[in-house]
Amino acid sequence: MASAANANLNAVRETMDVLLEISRLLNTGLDMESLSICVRLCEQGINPEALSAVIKELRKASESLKVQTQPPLKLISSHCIYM
Amino acid sequence: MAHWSTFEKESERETKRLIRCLSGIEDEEDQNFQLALKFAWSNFKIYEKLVVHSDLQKAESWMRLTEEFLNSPLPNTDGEKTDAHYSILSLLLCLSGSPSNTDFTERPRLKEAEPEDKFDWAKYLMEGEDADMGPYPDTPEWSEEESEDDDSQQPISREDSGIQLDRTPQEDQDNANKTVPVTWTVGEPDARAWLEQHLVTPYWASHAPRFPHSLHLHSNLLNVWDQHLYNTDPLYLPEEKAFVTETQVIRETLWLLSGVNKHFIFQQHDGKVSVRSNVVVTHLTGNCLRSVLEHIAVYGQAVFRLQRFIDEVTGHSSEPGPPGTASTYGSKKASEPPFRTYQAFVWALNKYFTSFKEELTMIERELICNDETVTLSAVLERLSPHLAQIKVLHRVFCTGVAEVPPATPNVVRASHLLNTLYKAIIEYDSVGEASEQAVALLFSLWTETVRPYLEIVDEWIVHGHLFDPAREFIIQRNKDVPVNHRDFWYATYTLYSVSETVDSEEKLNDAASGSSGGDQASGGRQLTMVSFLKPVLKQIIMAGKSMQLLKNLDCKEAEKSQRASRDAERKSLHTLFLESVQSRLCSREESPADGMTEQQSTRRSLIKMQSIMARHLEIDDVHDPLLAINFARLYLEQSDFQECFSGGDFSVDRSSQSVTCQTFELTLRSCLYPHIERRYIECCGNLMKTLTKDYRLLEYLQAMRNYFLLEAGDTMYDFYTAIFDKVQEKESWQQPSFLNVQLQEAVGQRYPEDSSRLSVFLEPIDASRKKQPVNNLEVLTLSYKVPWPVDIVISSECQKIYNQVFLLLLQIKWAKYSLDTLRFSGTNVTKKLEGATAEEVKVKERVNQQIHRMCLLRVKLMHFVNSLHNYIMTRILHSTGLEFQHQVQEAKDLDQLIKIHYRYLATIHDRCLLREKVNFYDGAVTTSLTADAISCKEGSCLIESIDKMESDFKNCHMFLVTILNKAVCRGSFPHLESLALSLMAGFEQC
Repeated sequence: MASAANANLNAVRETMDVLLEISRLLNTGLDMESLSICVRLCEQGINPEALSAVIKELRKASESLKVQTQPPLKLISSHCIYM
Repeated sequence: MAHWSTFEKESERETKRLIRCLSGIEDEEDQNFQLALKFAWSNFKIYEKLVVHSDLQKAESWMRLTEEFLNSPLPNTDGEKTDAHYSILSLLLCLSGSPSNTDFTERPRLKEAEPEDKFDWAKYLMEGEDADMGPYPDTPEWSEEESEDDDSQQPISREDSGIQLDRTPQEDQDNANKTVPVTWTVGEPDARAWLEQHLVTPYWASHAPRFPHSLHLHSNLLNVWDQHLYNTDPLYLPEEKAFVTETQVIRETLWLLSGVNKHFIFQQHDGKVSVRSNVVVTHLTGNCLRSVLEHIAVYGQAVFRLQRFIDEVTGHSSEPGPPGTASTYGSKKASEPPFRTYQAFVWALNKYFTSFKEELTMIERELICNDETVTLSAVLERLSPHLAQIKVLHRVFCTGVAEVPPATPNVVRASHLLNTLYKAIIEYDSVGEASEQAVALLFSLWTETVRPYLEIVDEWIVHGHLFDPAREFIIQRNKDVPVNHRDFWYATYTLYSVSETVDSEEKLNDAASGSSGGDQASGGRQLTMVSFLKPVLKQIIMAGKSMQLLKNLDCKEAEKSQRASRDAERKSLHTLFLESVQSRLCSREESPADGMTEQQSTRRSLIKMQSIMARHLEIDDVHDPLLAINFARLYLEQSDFQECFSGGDFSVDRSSQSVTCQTFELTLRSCLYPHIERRYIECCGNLMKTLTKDYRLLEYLQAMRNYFLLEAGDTMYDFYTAIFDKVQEKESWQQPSFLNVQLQEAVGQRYPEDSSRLSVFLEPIDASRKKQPVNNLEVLTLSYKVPWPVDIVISSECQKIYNQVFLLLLQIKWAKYSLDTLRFSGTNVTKKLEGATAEEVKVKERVNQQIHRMCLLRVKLMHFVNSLHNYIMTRILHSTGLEFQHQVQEAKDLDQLIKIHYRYLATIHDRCLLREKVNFYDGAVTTSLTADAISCKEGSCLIESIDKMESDFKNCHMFLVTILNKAVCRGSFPHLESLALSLMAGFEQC
């Protein structure tokens, strides 16, 4: 039983390798980790077009996020009274 | 679709048929069908596209790979060429970005039969059997040349833990030419290898040799876990890892906390400490180690920030940071005076860190000794109180120092820092015993940080000199007002108060309101100036100003020298404060233990305080830090303190610590404020003594009363009768020369020293007031030249009020005078007309009757004027004057004296009915009456005029009596009672 499971694992691993090659060929910009997430999502029935739209959108958003700056500090002021 | 070629149409039709055949989906509208169709088309297209671009290799790869993929199983889906396969491909196609323009070469994939097993089974099985592998069997051979080069050229920086981050040999070669030659060299050629073998493997180098470790299952948790992940999750990717030992982790932790900048496990970017992501130990999973290390990194960062602040303030920042971050906290150019509050704070921080580093060194030494097992968690456990304290320190630092914007003036920074500390103490204090140590630490920090402030206060109230070059104290001297100016008392100092709620910077100038500026401003908004000084702020200001004034007065020489000799053995305010706190702690501890009575305990604490004082007197420098160190230790190591200071063997009562801390404000009240209070009383007492003794303040006050309030009756009588005589004679009297001569003559006889100070001048009054002859007198202005220090009390404003009273008195005197000198010529007329005709007799009788009425009226008027005169001279001026003299004797400081004087003048002014409202009635009455009297005298003895006068007088009199009665009945003016009674009596007789 264990060996059968092991064989299956290996087969899946190979599939992923093939998929990574395809991904590279198409220049998708996905690495192994994100690719495996995508595979899981697709298997769960997520619409691939929607998923691709999401990925593109997220990439854009994270780009613009890097440009943003910190808000300024609050001020402390002083008063003087002559005596 | 009309323009499609027949070929395309045909191929579409064929494709659809193919899909139908392959998938078995008949419905063309089905989502899956559409998906498949789209994939097929794009697939064809991609292939065609690649062929067209003559990327034949790619095209071939594409075909082969997709084929292979479609025939491979997916992790969670059974079967091949399922929907999931197609949707994945579709996703990739959607994401694809210009595949024809990128370089792609298919990588040969290893068709491994089994995943690579990182676990060394051979070793595992042979554990315990191999004896002679040597300590570092994995250490690779080092080529001779390379190690030699490296050895001689490796610089070791002071800040560095000795770990060079990820240096590739290439970089080393480059650096070798630039860097300064070595601080240490090891003679032997293979010294480095030797060091590595005997001290530490270079775990920081990439692809460092693995160290050996036990192959017991417990020390291989990481491998076991990795294996498990690998077996269960097909998508799991083993990462590159840097293996370290726990000892190395502990040592780096210790280094991080002691402020070393460069590490392997911890990395710094822009002041942020983070944990290197791929560091692992063999006996923990990566996540577990990471969570522990991240916890440490937080403290490391706190230490780093505090350390940087310390370096910046002390001015030896060894590592020039990026511009902008470097000089944010008051590390200034050399020309600027030092900002002492920050320096004191840094000094306190530094002291804490010294003890902390001692602790760290001790742990490291134990680690090196290798006598007992030291684990990371044990170290953290041991350091946990310190870490909690660092957290507190960092919190205080963040709110008190780091959050202050760069352009803030020093006074705001200083008071903000002190306030933050103060608030933090009170805040932690309220938690109770849970935060005892935090309170102890903060308290010692506060006592150190407050030192510059106390020193400034001390200098000010003892030497009268506000020495504050960095402008950090909440009170600052206005440079443009000299001491011997009459505004000195009012406008010399500026009190700054910090408000965090209001945005703009405001300056309130209330020079007129005297020195009670603080009270004035606090009405409107909540001000948060340095809160601990608030209760004694007034005393400090008074004492400081008095002292400065006193210094500038010519004191007696003897007193001066005496003071100078005393100053040598005098203790500073800060020292006194610390001593009081110590003695307070002693007495606190002892009373519950011994169960003594209050009196005994105070006596014993007094004896103890004496011994402590004696000990401190031995120390030459009063500002000896030893004292402060001991004091700080007192909280941290209570038992230690008892040995050091009290010498006795009291049972340590745990509650005693919290007792002292919980009543922080009470501590201040009993330990700091009394010293200031005492100093205040001393200073102000001295000033008052000097003013009254050397500057004859009381004599001047008496002189004012003498001349303005006519207390020197005979002198002033000479002066005003001369004027009245002139008026009587209908001669012109409004000549300054005449008036001054009269005044000088009158005064010179009895008070020759005042004759030069007194002068009279005329001031034209507005025409509206010139109705009655009596108003003519109002042009007179008496002035008395008051010399410098006394004119702070008797200001020109005061003289104005004095003058008003003087004029009123003069008017009454004049009314009295004219009534006194009133003679009716009627009597003479009767004598002359003796033996005349009946008609003449009749006329004469009428005249006599008129004269009689006139006499009656005159008497009534005299009664009225006399009662008014009596009322004012005795009832008001005399009794109020007595009260005033009494209060002056009791006045503690100059401000109080000024207030008393003002109050006295205001009272007189009020009671002389000069206040606007009352004046309205009474002024009219007196003037009309006296005017009547004058016109009487002029002899126009017409019946109508007499009637009119009588009725006028009656009306006025009645009016006044009613008003006064009302006032008396209301009870609001008890002093008016006598006047009302005497007038009433006069009225009833009418």
